[in-house]
Amino acid sequence: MTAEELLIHKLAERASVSVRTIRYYIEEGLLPQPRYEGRYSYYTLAFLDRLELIRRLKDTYLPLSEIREIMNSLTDQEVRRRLLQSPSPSPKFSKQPPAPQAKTKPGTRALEYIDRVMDEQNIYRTKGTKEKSLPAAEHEPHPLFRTAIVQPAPTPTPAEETWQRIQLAPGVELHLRSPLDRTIEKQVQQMIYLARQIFHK
Amino acid sequence: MTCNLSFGVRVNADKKFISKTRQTERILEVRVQAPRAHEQEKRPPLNLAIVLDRSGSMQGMKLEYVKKAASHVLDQLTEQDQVALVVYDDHIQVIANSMKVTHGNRVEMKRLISEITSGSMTNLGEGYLSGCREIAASARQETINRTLLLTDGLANVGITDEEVLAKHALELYNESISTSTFGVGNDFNEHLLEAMASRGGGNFYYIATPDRIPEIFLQEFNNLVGITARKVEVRLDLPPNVEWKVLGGWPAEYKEGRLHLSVGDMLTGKLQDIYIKLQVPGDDKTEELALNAKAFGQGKDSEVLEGQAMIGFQCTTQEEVEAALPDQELMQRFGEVELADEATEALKLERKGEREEAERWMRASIDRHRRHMSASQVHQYEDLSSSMAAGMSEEERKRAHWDSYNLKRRKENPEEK
Repeated sequence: MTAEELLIHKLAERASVSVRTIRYYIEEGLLPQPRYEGRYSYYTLAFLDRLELIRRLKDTYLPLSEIREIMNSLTDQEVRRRLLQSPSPSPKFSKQPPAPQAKTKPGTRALEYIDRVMDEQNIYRTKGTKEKSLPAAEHEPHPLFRTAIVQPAPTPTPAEETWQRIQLAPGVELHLRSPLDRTIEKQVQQMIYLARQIFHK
Repeated sequence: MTCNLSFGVRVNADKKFISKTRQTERILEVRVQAPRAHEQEKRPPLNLAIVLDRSGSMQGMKLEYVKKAASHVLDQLTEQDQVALVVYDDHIQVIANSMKVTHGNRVEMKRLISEITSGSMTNLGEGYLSGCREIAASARQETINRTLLLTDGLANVGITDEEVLAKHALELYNESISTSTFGVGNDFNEHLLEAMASRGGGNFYYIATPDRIPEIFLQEFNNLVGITARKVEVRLDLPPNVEWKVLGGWPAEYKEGRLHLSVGDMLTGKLQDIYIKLQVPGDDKTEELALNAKAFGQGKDSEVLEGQAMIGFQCTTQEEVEAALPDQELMQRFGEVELADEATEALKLERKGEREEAERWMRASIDRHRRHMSASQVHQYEDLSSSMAAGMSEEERKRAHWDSYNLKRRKENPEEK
C-alpha cells in the first residue's frame, strides 16, 4: 500500500459512509474499481472526493442512474474542481441537529422537508418550451437523462388542447394530449417503462 | 425480557465462537418484543392521509372498491382522529385537507369520495408527498401519523425513481410520518412499494383482486390501532473492522461505532426478529468479543421504552470454531429470511428479463440452505426457480414477491405468544 492509498475501512471512516455503501457504489458503477492486491483493495485519496461529490449529488435527489452518468464523465481533477467551485450546499434537513422535541411542534420538520422536495421538483417543471438547466449541470453543461415533465401553461384558453411533454432522454421527447383514452394511456405507460429501460442502460 | 408484556430486546447467535486466525462469519438474531396493550386501554389517536390513485387504469371496479374502502376507513374513525384525502393522476388534488372526523365531516368526506372519477397518468410521488404534507401539518405528540398510499400502476410522471421515493419515505419516517403502501392488480411496481413501506416504517400489501381492497384497508387499520411501540430502533455496538449485512430489507446505518436498525412501529405483543450477518476478522490478541444492544421506542403515551441485551463471543482456534454446533433452530429461522431475501433479488432479475441468472441465483441459495430447510420448503423454492427460468406472469411475480416479503419480515412469527 502506498502512502496515498487507503483500505476500505479507513476510506469509509474518513468519508463517513459505510463499507457497504462503498461496495454498492462500485457495483453500481458510481465509483471506479479500486486497486486489488490479494485479498485487499486499495483506494486512492481521489475516492474521498468522489464520495463527497456523490453525497452532494444525492442531496439534490438525483437518481443513481444520473449520478452515475455524471461521475463517469469526470476525471479526478474535474471532480476536485467541481467540489471547489460549488461550495457545500446549505446543510440538509437530515443533518440539522435535532431540535428538542418538546419545543418543536411535531411535523414541523417534516413540513420543511416536503416543501423543500416539492420546490426542488418544481425546478424541473417550467412553462412552455424553455427549460431551465438542472442544478447539477449548471457549472458544466452535461447531457443528463432526465424524465422531466413540463406542465402546460397554467391558463390555457378553453379552445386550447392540453399537452404533456415527457423527456425520455436528451433530445427525445414524447408529447401526449391529456386526458388520454384509457387503453392508449396504458400502452403509453408500458412504452415509457420500456423507454426508461432502453435509455438508462 | 422476562415478561411478554413489556418492551425488550435479546440477541442470539448461531455460535458463540470466533476464530483468532481467520475471518469468521457469525449470524446474529436480534429479537425485539413490543409491549402488549391492555384490553381496556384506549387506542391511540390516528392522523391519516389516504392517498388514492385515480389514473385512467383505475377506472371501473378498482376505483369503486377503493372508494368503498376509503368510506369504510372513515366509518372506523372517531372524533379523536384526523384524516386527509388526496387523489392523484398527473395532477394532485387534495380533496379534503386534514380534519377531525366529526359526524358532519365524515358525511361531507364520503360525499367527496363518491365524486372521485378516473383521470390520466400517475404522479405517485407528488400525490404521496401531498398526503404526507397534510398529516405533517396536523401531527400532534400523541398521534400515529401515517400515509396510506394506494396505486395500481407505475409512477410515470414527476418523481419516479425508486430510490428517491424510498429515501423520502425514510426521511419522513425519521420525522414521525410513516408510510404503508397498497398495490392493486398486476401493473404496479412491487419493489418500489415494498421499499417505500420498509423505509417508511409501515406495511406493504399486495391486493390481487379489487374486491379485497376494503378488507385489506381494515387490516391496516387494525395494525395501526394496535401499535404499542412507535419508532423502534435497535443500536448495536459493533467494532468498525467488523463487516455487517442486515437481512430482510430493514433500514440500517452505521454511525460512530454503532449499527442503528430501524424497526418501525410495532404492534401489540409482536416479536420481531432481525438477522444480521457479521464478518469478524481474526485477531489473536483478543480473548472475548462482547456486543451490546439497546432498543428504544416510544410508548403509547409518548413515554420512552428501553431495553438492552449483550452477547459474548469467545475467540478461539479455527478448529474449535468449526467443531462447535450451530443453533439449529436459529439457523432455520435465519434461513427462511435469507432465502426470502435472495428470492426478492432473484425476482428483480427475472422482472428485468434475466431469467437464467435469476434461476441460477435462486438455485445457489437453495443449495446453501438445504441443510436447514424442510423438504416442502426446498420443493417450493425449486418450483419458484423453475418458474423464473420459464418466465413468470405479472401475477406470479407479485404473489412470489408478496410471499417473500411476508417471510423476510417474519409477519407471522410462530414464536409469538
